Amino acid sequence: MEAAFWTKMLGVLRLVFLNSWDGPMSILSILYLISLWRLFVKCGVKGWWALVPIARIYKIALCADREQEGRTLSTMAAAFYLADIIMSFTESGGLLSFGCMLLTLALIPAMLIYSVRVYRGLVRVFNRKKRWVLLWLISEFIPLAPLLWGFSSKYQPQWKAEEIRDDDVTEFFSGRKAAVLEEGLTVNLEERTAREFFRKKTLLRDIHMAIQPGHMVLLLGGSGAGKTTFLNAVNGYEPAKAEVTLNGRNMYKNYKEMQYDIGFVPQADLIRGSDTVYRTLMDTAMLRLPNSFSRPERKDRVEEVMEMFGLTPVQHNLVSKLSGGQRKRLSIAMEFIPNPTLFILDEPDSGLDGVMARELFQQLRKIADQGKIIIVITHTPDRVADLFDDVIVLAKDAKRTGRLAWFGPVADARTFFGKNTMEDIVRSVNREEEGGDGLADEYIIKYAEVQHA
Amino acid sequence: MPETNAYAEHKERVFRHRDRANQVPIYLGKQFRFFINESDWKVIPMAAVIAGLVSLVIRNRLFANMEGCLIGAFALTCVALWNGCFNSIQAVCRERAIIKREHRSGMHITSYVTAHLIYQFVLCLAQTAVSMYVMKLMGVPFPARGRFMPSIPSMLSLGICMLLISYAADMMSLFISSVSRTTTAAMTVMPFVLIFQLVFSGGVIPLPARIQPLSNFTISNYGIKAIASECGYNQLPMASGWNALNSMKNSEIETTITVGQLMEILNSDTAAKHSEDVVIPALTAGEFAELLGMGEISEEAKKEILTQPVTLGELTEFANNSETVRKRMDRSRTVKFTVGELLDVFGEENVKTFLQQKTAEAARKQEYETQYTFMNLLALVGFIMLFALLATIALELIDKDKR
Repeated sequence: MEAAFWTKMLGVLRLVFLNSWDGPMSILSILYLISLWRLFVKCGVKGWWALVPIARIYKIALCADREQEGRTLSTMAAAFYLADIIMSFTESGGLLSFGCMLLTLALIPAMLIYSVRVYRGLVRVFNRKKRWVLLWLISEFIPLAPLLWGFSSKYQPQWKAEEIRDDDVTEFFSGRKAAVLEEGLTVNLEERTAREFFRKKTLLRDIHMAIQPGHMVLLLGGSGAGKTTFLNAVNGYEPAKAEVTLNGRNMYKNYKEMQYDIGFVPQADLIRGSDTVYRTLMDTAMLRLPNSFSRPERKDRVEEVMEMFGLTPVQHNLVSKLSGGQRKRLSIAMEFIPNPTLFILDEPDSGLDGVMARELFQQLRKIADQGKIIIVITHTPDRVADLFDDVIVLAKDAKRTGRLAWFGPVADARTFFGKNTMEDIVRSVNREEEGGDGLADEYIIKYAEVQHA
Repeated sequence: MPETNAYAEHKERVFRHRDRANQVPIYLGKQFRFFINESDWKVIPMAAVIAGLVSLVIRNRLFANMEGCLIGAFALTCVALWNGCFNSIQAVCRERAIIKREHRSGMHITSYVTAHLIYQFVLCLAQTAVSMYVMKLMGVPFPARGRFMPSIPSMLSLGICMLLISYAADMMSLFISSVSRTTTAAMTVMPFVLIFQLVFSGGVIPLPARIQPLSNFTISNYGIKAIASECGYNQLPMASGWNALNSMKNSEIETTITVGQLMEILNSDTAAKHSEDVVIPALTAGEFAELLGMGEISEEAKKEILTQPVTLGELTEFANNSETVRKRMDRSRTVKFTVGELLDVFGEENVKTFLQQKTAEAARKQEYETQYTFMNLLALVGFIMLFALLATIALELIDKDKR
């Protein structure tokens, strides 16, 4: 009985670590793992990951630039192994065993599809023909493809999988935190990290600034630089390792109370189409205005905001019947109902033509002039750059962490980057494979030096 | 950190906002406006059509016999499950991004879910009312009084069962909708859930003992039991035994039997038990002798006429006292007759009644007793509460999928 148990146990361990049930196949599996180790090294991943069951699947996907698929595939593999282990230790024909068998049967085709996706990515990274995918699919039984790709110098990846490491980045740190403003917004963000599967990722690091009331701030940065992450960290929705104060009050510690004092307009118009404009704003007023507001006062506020954003003529129309511009204005108006001190807008001009976008930003300028702080992300900054007081430029450093490359007046930004337009500034900090100049690290260090000075 | 004057001015605005209870009407209003302005209203006529179609099949069976009752209970459970599931399967996932936006603006998830609970209850109530009315129009013969609650009409009592099944299914779908990020994902899961509910209900499709416990995790199991007990399953006759025999009327039976063996059968304990309830129609002694193969019976004996129908006991007594029978105890005869002829001998109605009663006695199930209806309804309420709670927990975690 005990011997049978240990035989089973050995089989399970062999399955999990070597992907194989029997002895002769194990030899091929060992060859597979050795060649995978070599392949990982070529791709910039630590070789020993090849020995870690399940994680190695994710790492193969990383090498193939297919991280999402890798997550799913390794999760499925974990479930598959678990089901297999349960089946080997439970009575066949039992309910549990039957359930596990069903699960494995369902997982096999799904894993096959995801494996094809991952191996197609690998073939692309190594710039090889698609027929290699077939060899990779059988590589755990016949490790021809990993042996060739791992050991032959002919097979080299076009680019390496980047592993985020948290060392060697503090050198850019300016060391200067922003002084907390009695009135206005102060951001002292040390880092914003996210744990993703088998690794910790630093999304943002060392962003310090103080924004005066009445300032309208433009937030620039290439794709993936962390603009939305930064805004979510600023408004407390996704807290970072940071101290964010609004009018001298810590936003993280008082998020529940202060969330009503922050307006966040998302990129998409997330409004129910089945309500009228008036009803949408009235519901928002009921939700976001203090209880002390009487019904007539709420009504007055809604009418005031509708007038301000030009929505009065369409107040009885269903939201689903509004034009793109009207819907965008409604989305902003909803956030403006509680008259927030901090107003954050994520690409409010997306889908609007130049004239409408300009009008919208002029409207925002008027709001800022009332002593509000407005932070706006836009991908077409130059048509409205003159309306802004300050500009924030975020850039991805060599470790793909979002860093501050500039914060200050718009005109000074032009001088700092030596560019005439905001779009040129963005281009200068974007990575080369994104069509940019790849000067992000240079400007991050330069800005850190400026801050030191 | 000291508070600034600017903040102090806003203090009241910042701190006092609508609490959970006061947010419910806001979202309830949104739900009902969605019902009017979007396509939610379509579930009402859809329920009427489904109820009408199902009524065509079950109207003559539901209260007629056990088999019809069980099939009817299964069909009605299917209707309620279908209505409930499709009421809310997209209700949350279609506006997931909006919920996230509103949640960060101060919406309480419990208020949102409570609004859904109320709205979905009203929707299920309307659908059930329409379904029951359509069934009535289609001629389903609802008894005057319910079994579980004799003080109310059976139609209302059955409606309560349907409502709870529908609402439990609705809550289950609400939960699925709460954990699904897209409508496509929710609609992909739905068929699996429905198939599980129907196949593993354990009502119409008998489950092997090994997987029988799975039926305890289905809404349909309790739904079928509740409806079947409300329809008086255990008080109804069983038709399948008689139907099978009736369909074999023309089948021939051939057997060789001695008079002595026949007398043994007639005098057996089993026959004695039914000596009063089995009635044999009027028969002459000649016909009886003919039946037994006693061809050379005297003409005088043939004239012994049984002018009145006799019970099995009387027939046995007659045979026991008959000298003619006693003399021919060793005589054997190959008898060939049809099932129909045999039924004629014992009387078709008698056999039918007997068979329907006896098979029904054997088929009675404890869980379909009226006294268990309340427990089954309670189980459905348990499902409602469980899924509502799970939906709330799932939505409370909505910020985890921020991007």
